[in-house]
Amino acid sequence: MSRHLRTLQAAGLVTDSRDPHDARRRVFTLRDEGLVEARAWMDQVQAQWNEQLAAFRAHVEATDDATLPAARPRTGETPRLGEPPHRRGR
Amino acid sequence: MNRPAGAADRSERPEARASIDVGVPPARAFEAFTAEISSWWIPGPINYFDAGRSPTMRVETRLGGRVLEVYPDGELVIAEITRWEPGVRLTYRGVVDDSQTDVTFEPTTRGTRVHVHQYLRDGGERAFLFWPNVIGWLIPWCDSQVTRGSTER
Repeated sequence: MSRHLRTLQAAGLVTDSRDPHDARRRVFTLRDEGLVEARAWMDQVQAQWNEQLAAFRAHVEATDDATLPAARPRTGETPRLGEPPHRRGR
Repeated sequence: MNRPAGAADRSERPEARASIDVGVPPARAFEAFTAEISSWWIPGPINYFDAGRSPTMRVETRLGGRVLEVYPDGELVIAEITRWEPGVRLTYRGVVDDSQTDVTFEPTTRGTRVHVHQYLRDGGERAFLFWPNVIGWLIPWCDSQVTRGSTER
């Protein structure tokens, strides 16, 4: 439990303080703003990587002569990410 | 896995995962991911640390190399490469924040599955500097887009 709390604390999701009337007690408080920030960061990073990896695939498959035959969409096959890789010259 | 996928694991530290299959061998995928990043990295107000300075991305392709935003009048070190295994694995440690990113290149029958895992380092506190930083230039950037759009008409 304490390890988990330390993790949350390191992530800024909780803060802790001593009980002024009982030094043995530590009071952990959830920081709503920290939680919102963490979720916003995770959502943003997730969305950004999905977008960038799709662009990465379009680039690497369009520019590489060694693209594996099995990877090329067969006739009539629906491209996996909407737009097919844009082929362009080197 | 047919599309970029992954789910932020909200049970512990802030982290995000994504992966994609590409139809080239791991060595080629690794080369394109690093040496050619400026050719595929999508520009935009949230895709650079300082998008207002017309940056491009650059990766110095070696252990200890830097990940940079290069501007017409300078550069900013975004991260430093701490693991460099061509065709296999790449790790870079954020300089402008406390995140770390692992990128692995897994051979598949179709080519390569690229996995990205970005997370807050243990004890890190600066992952969320991203947002205060973004707010500072997001509005001017949007204004510039409006101006650009109006002049193109």
